[in-house]
Order: sequence, then structure tokens, then C-alpha cells
Amino acid sequence: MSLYLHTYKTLLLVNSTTTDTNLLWNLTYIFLGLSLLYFVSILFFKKKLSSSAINTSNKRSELAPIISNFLFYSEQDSTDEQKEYVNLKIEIREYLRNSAFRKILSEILFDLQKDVSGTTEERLFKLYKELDLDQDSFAKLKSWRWEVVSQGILELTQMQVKESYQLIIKFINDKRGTIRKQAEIATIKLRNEGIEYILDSTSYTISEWQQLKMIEALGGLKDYTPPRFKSWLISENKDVVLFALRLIKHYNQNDAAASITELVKHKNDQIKLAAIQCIKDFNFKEAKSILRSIFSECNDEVKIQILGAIAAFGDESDIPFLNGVSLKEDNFLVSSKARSAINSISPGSMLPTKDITKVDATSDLEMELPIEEVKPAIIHSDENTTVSISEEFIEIETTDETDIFEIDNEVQEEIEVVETQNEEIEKIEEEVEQLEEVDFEFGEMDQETDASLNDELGLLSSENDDVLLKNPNEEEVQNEYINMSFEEKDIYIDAIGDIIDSKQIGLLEMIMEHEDESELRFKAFKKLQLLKTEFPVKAIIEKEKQEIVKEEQQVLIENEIEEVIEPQDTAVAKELESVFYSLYQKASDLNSRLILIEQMGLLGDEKELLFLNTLLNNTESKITKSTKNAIAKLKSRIAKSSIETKQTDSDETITNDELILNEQLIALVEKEELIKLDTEEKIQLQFDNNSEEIEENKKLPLELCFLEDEFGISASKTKDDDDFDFELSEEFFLNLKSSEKHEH
Amino acid sequence: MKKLQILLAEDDDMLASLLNYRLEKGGYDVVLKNDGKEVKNWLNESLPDIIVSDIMMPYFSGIELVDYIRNELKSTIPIILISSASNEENVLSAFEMGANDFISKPVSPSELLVRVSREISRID
Repeated sequence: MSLYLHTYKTLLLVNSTTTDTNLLWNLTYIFLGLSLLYFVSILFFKKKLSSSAINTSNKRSELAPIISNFLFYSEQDSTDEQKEYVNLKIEIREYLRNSAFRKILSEILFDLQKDVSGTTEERLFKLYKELDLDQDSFAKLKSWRWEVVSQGILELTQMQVKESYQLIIKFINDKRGTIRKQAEIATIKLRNEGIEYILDSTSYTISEWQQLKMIEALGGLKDYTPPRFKSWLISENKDVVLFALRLIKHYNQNDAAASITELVKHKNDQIKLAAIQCIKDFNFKEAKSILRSIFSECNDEVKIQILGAIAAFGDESDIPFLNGVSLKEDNFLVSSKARSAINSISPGSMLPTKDITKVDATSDLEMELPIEEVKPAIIHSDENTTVSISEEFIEIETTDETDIFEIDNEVQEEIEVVETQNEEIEKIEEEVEQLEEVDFEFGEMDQETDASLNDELGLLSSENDDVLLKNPNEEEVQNEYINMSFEEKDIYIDAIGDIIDSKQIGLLEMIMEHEDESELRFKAFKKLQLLKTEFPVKAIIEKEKQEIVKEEQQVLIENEIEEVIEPQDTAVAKELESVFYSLYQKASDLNSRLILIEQMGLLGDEKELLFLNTLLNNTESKITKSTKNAIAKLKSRIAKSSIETKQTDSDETITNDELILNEQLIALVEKEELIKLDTEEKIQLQFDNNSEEIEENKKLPLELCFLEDEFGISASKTKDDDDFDFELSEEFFLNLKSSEKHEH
Repeated sequence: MKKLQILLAEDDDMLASLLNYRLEKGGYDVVLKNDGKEVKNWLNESLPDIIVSDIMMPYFSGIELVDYIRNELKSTIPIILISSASNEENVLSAFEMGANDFISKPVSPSELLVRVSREISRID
């Protein structure tokens, strides 16, 4: 205490509240006491538990040989052993009055039950009952604590107390989940028909884990014959239906096809999925139609499952349906699954299309395309030319209102059409292969045949032929333009307006975008505007067809080849025989073409005449005009040369009147070409009226007789001379009159 | 007539007692050991006619025991292993090491007795 006071005296300067030190000391003593008590109690309980464990262990050790004796006792044992057995039985009955001992004995038996099997296990069960240990378990069933009840059910199940079955099944619909689950397992283990009782009576959900546990329990039953679980597919409890489906699958009960197929129409998606899985596993192919019919009404998960099932047992007839799904479905997973299913049914029919580099088609015999792109037939007419006959795409117009199964038939029809076309193409391919080594000549194709063929094959009209046959290589032209000087470019742009095609429009657009010189750019812009104003439709068509020009060109060549194949069409492509034809095709600008047309009029013969006739259809007005002039000149020249030839060949002299008449006829022909067809007929009439006279005198050349055929003039009408009102020179009529007088 | 000696190595007292009782009743002299260390020490002093051992034991597993007997002691005495059903890999390893037979839990003591008799008859 003196130390305590001394301590405070030294801290006089510290201003602190005074505390009752006695209280502090008292609290210290209390806490020390509590700590001591705590540690003592721990030690006490630890010692008690350990001593209890030791006692239990000792008792177990004591009981082990007794139990072993009970378990392995037999009537064949020696009398000493039999006496020992009886004494042990009496002894253990004394012990059994002690509940602790009963508990220990039960624990020993439960432990042993896990480790032994066979007859030893059976004896163990028997011993458990003989020692009335099952009564303890029965008592546990009456407890209000769920863990005790559960423990009681477990013990009765482990020791196979069959008498407990009726008590345990009452817990099947217990509201406490643990007891319910324990009771379900016990019901199955205690009797073989337990599963049927569960399926019939349970009104609670059966978790997937519990289902697996029950299936495991069923697997442990001896001499168990499973019932036909399809009977429970009509249960109102969806979990029972699911469990029944699982059991059907587990025991391979494939006699439930009709019921399972019907379940795919169930409102519950889980049941649908399980039913589809069953259908897939059992390969119920007859369910395909139902699967397809419910497809549109299902959610994505079920759709994927259906597609998986179709992929597993589908055939070629399902591909249109799958194609429809892959085209219509918005969900990527579903459409992807559909494509996967197509590939499962027809391996290799669906190939990767994304990020695949294009390979030159001319270097390959055949290029595989995805199934929706029906493979075009490619025919090689020569080393450098690949002719694509047709390229058909299956396109299905789908609207939200349109059911996917309605388009199914359409797709089927499309496929059939394409297959038919492919067969035809194969035939053509064979024919072309046969003709590859044959030299053939191109004949002229009349316009009607050409047009009908184009219509049939869906090709461009013949008016585009000259454009198509030019092999429009836009890049080359553009490169050519880039290398030009300013003046050349200026002239070039001016010349563009005379030739209208997609290439030129593209070039003008290119100039507008890339030309550095603003003057040229503006010029190109104006030119393009002009072209589009003058030929708007043409421009649009050219633009649209720009990408397919190459293929169409190849098709055209193929058509020409086909025409040559036909023996009756020897006149097809006759214009190709003209030497001017190839020159005309090579002519890049309008002026060159006009010169060539003019030269054809001056130098050409019947071949050029045919070629010029084809040029009459050209859209370019200058070319048409020039062609008409050239035709007129050419015809007059042909007529003239024919007369001259006749004159040279004939031995007879020609009178002056006849010469005059011939000259007038030549003039007439020239004039006739400049006027229209109406006058042609009139000339023909004139020609017919004079034909008798000419025939008599034999002064006209024979070729003139076939002029009308050559010009395609129809048969003359019978008319009076007074009807003649077309433009003929007065000299002609004077000559006629004078000749008549002369005859009279 | 001298009884054939069986070394029973099992860490579960109850099962060990049960098997011990059954084997003794079958006419064998059983030496019971509860862990691998005890077994190893005992084997350094003497060798039994046959060994019945659990695979899963403290200190020294049944497989290590087989390896020790075959490679260290260079003994060919029959060894029967007791394993749980899930220890298939261990059983295969034990056979590779030189174990003669195995029996899976839950054990049928009668079956074990038959297997032991069969191994003994092979020695004879």
C-alpha cells in the first residue's frame, strides 16, 4: 500500500480522476477465476469424453468376439463352442438392459454391416432383430425431430427390417424434405415394388439428384424386375413423368414409343426435352413428323434438342426442313444447329463460307458450294473459257406470318427444279465434251431464235451481245486511262458519250473520284449526268448486270456452241464468218466502228450484209444510221455485180431498153433501202409486173429473182398498175410505154 | 500339426476382429496388426505363410507393403489385399507389384477364407 501511495505522490502533476483501486483488483480476481473455471471445465469434459471413448472402445473390443461368435455360430460347432454361444447370449441380454450398451452394440453392428457381405451380412441383420435393437429404431420414427426420424429410417433400412416398410411409406409425402427423401430410398430398398408405390403416391417434386439416388438403390436390389414405366408417363406430377422417362431410358424400355412421342407435345419444356432425348436415344424415327410439326412452337432449347434428334436419325428428306430452319431462324444457335444437322445427315454438304478466299474457278473443274447455293454446272469449252450454264439459289420468302412448314414444300419444289436442271446440264456437259475436238463453224443465228433462246435461258437480249462479247475488263481500261496525257484524257472523255455501256459509266465514275484535274472531273461529271439522263434505264440495267456480265458472256458462248451442235441451224452465227466481225469487236471507239461499217458497205458481200443486219438493232443511233446506209450501198453493189456477172456469162446481147431497165432496177434497189418496207412491197410489185417481159427477153440476171428472198420481202399482192404511187422516175414509166408501143 | 500363420493387417478394429475370428475358426494362426509400421517391424523379425492386408492403412499402405516384401525382403509369400470397390487403380498397381489376389469391401469372411485356402494350396 505504501508503494501504491508512493506511486501516486510522484505523479502529482498529473491531473487524473481518482479510481477505486479495490474495484479494479476485485474485477481482476473475478476474471482470473472465470478463466480458471473455463480451462478446468474444458479439461474435465475432454477427460470425460476421452474416457467415454476409451470405454466404448473397450466395450467394442469386448463385444467384437461376442458378435463374431454370434455371427459365425453354427450347429456343427463343437459342444464347447455351443455352450459358449449360449452363455454369451445370456450375458449379452443382461447388458442390453443398459441403453448405453445398446447404443454401442447398435453402432458396432452398423459399422460391421458396411464392411461385410454375403452370409455374414444376413446373419448380422438377423442378430440385429434377435437382440431387439430394431425396436430402438422404430421408436425413433415417432420422434418429432426430423433428424431422429431420418436416423430411425436409415437404421431400419440398413438392417433390412422389412416389417418397417408400412411405417416408412407414410413418410413418402412428409413435408420435411430430408425425411421424405430418406423414406423414398428406404421404400425402394425394403421392397422391390417400392418404386411403384413412390411413383403412384408421391405428390412432391423429385430432384434430379434424388432420382439418381433412387436408380442407384434400384440397382442394389436382388432379383428385381422393373415394371413398364410407361404407365407413369400419364402422371399429373411432372417430376414423376420425368423420373419415369429417366427410368425408361435407364432400363431401355423401348416399347413406349407412342407415349413418349405424345409427350413432345407436353406444355412443360422439361418433359419435352426429356421426351425428345428418349426419342433420340431409342431412335424413334416415326416421331420425326411430330417433332417437325411442334418445332415452331418450341423455345430455343427445345428446338436445339429437336434438331439434335433429327441429326441423329434424320435422312435426306429432312434436309429441306433443316434448310428452312437455318434460313428462317433468328437465333444463331438454332440455325447453326440446323446446319450442323444437315452436315450430320449429308456430310460435307455444308462447307465453311465465311472468311474463305475465292479461288479462280477457271483453274478448277468444279467448285463446291454450300447447299443453299445450288452448284452451278460449269462447262469448259476450251482451255481459257469456262461456261457457267446456270446458277440457281434457293431463296425462300419468309415472313413472320408464314409458318416454316408452309415453305417446306416450296423448298422441296425448288430442289426438284434445280435437280432437273442439273441433270440437263450434265447432259450438255457430255455433249460439249464430245464436241471439244470437233472443228465447227459459226453460222448466223436469226433474231427470233436468239431471242427465244435468251428468254429460255434467262440471258440478256441480243442487243447487248456486242457489249457482252467485248470482254469488258474494267481495270485494264482504267489503267489505260490513268496512263494517258491530259489532252488524250480530254479526247477520251469526249468519246465516251458515243459508247454507252456499264464499262464507260464505271470509268466515268472512276474519273470523277480519282482524277486530279478538276476540269476533267467536271467534264466526266457532266458526261455522266448526260448519259444517265439520256439512258437512265440502260444505265441502271448496266449497273445491275455489271457483276454478272462475265458469266452471261460465257453462257452466250455456250449457247452459240449449242446452236452449232444442232445440224438444222447451220445458219447460226453466220455473221461470224465476216472478216469485219472480229475487227468490229476489237474496235474500241465509235469512230472506228463507223468507219468499219462504211467499209463493209463499200467492200463487203453477203456475209457482211448479214452482219450489218444484226447491227441494225444497236441502240446507238449513229451506228444504226450508218448501218442502214452501208446496207443500201452493199445491196446495190451486190445487185450490180450480179448483173455484170450475168452479162459476162451470157452469149446473147442485151438491148438498150433492157440495160436501161436494169440500171433503173439498181437505182430502185438503192432507193428502196433508203425508204421503208412499205415501198419494198411496191417495188416488188413493179418487179413482178415486168417479170414476164424480162423472162421472155432473158435480159435480167437470174440473181434478181432471189432478191426478195434475200431481203426478206413478202409475197407480192395482186394490185392494179394504178396503185403504183411510190417514188419512181418518170423515165421508168416512159420507157415502159415506149416498149409497149414498140411491141405493138 | 502346426497351424499355418496368417498376418492380418487391418486398421478397422471391428472388421479385423471379425476376420480374425473367422480365420482362426478356419484353422489358421492369425497375427493381427493395425497399421503398416507394425507390419513392417514384425516382418523384419519373421515371415508368415500368407499375408492378408488392407490397402488403406496408416504409415504404410498395402501397396508399399507388397513392394517392400517383394523387393526388399525378396519374399514370394502369397499376399491377398483387401480394398474398397473404388480403389481399382490401387488394385492394378498392387498386382503389378506382385500381389497374388484381392478381395473388395464389403468383405465376405467366408469368401476370404476360401481365397486364403486357395493361395495356401498353390504353395503346396
